[in-house]
Amino acid sequence: MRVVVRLVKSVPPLAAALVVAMLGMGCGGGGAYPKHDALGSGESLTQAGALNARNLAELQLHHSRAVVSPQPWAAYWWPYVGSGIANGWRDPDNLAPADKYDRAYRGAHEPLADWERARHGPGLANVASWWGHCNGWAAAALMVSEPRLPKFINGVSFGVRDQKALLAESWMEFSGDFIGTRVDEEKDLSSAAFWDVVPAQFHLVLTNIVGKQNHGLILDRHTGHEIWNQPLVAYDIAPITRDDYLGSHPSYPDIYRVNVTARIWWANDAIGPDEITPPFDMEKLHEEYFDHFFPGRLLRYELWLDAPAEFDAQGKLVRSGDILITRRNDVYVGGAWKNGINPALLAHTHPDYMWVPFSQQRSSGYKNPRIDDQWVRANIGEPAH
Amino acid sequence: MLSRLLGVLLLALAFLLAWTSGSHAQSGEEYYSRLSLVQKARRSAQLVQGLLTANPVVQRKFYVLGQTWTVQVTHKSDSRGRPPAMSVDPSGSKQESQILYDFKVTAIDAQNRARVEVTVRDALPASPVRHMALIINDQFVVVAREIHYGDGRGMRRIEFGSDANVALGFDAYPIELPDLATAGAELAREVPRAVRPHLRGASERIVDFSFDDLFGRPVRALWADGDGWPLYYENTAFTAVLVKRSGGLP
Repeated sequence: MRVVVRLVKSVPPLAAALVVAMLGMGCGGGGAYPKHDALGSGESLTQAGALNARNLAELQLHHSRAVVSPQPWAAYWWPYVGSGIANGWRDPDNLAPADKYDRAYRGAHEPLADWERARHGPGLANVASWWGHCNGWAAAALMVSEPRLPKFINGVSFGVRDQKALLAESWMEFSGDFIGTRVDEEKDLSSAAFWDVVPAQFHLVLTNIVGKQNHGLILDRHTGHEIWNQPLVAYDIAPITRDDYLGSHPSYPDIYRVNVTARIWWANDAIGPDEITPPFDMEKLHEEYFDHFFPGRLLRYELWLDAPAEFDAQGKLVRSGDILITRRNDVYVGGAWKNGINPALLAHTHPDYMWVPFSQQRSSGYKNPRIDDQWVRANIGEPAH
Repeated sequence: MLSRLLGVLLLALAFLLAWTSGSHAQSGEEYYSRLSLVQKARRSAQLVQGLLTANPVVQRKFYVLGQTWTVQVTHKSDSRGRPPAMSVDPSGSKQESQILYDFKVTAIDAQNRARVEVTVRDALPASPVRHMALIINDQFVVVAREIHYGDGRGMRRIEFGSDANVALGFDAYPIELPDLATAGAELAREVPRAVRPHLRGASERIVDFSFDDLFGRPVRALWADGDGWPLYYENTAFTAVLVKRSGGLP
């Protein structure tokens, strides 16, 4: 952990941002709560915690790092310019996942592969190179166990690639909860949509939703207009010391400012379609941002508190105010991102938006309406565990 | 030599600019304007806090053993995950998914805390959660929740403070309550159309709560006198309507 702090303090923001920008390719906590109270019904797995959900020092003490469990899996993102999941790339029989589905599916249906080529293919109007199945894969990677072995279904061989591709298609539409306004304009680097998710939301979601509740979380790692949904695998917030404390500004005496540095890692969607995801190892990847399976990013930001922070003799944070956030005219305000100003790099800094999937939904015409979700669930998808 | 020196100076200048600007990633003016907004919001919140005693209070009775109710959830559609210019196939379904959740008070302990089991009537497709349980104190504060999985994972219990409810969202289950003591409240002037068929009568007294969740997102809840659960709850992910009260209702 000391290494983290040293790195952060010795690298100028521009250099740090350079590292940040070169990351991506392609589209809780431990401890044990007392066994149970009068109304409990079994052993608890969570870290304790009737803690103040907004208090920086308490969150830092209990939830400064977490690895999501079950671990989300990495995959391939099946871009539209390659015909989505109707692409037989690298398949031994040169058959696409959609073609195999059409052969194995016993009920009457219109071909999945035809729709895929027409609507998730290169001929789609205005198709951009980054359009693909990252959203469906990201949701499936949280909700369904990773397919790790080939399967025969109705006499048709489905490799890992085929199973992952069908899961990505099946989860293209879902219910869920989102935070952050999506950036839609290519050159937008200044709007409120660009600057949210704001640091207070980012910090509170990481610590309360992922850290405290062990909810899986998906983030659009591209700050700008492109969308690259990635399931978060882990985060680690560096220790907050006296050197990070900025105190209050003379003109704004009610607000106390503190610098924070966080590392995040996500599952990659640009691996080979048949590859299997290894276990995530935070210690091994702590200084690594270019891992094949788990790319990462270093983010710096300032949080604003409603009371001063206090530090012990060693300079470690021991008490603090609560994290402040407010909303005015649907614009969120809470802290400041500090990842430089270079336009080319800014697009690869804080998440554009973040979300948690709840469940699959039927196609509204966006995902392939010819896929039978129930068939996919019965033959491929097992809940993540 | 001169050009090399100039190059080094320019590079140093670039780093210096990046370093100083790094402390104000957003422009300086923007930074201070946001600080000012947060400070104003904080001061007005303190002011409002002092006036809360004037808020209307929900007349409520605590739970009784065996009390049941049902909540219907309609998820909001969100297109954030899809490319912006993506057109949809007009043959796709437009049907909104509505899911029923059944609540039952299964225990009340000596500290007057109720255990409420929450089950989803039609299992959410591919969700690993089998059911949930809430521990609610006599101030209607959810002090803990338990998540029970259907995939062999152990139960997960999450503790909250006992003084006030904190809305978090990010959950498919409609398991959150307004903070009856401090959330901004007024008597409801009108209720959403979805609620009207489930009112007891036109004269029913309903309190309308508007507040923000932990992340600053807006939440609205309507609570009728005598009920143990909000008539209506809307957050960024769904709307939830109390559609059935029965069994042990006080």
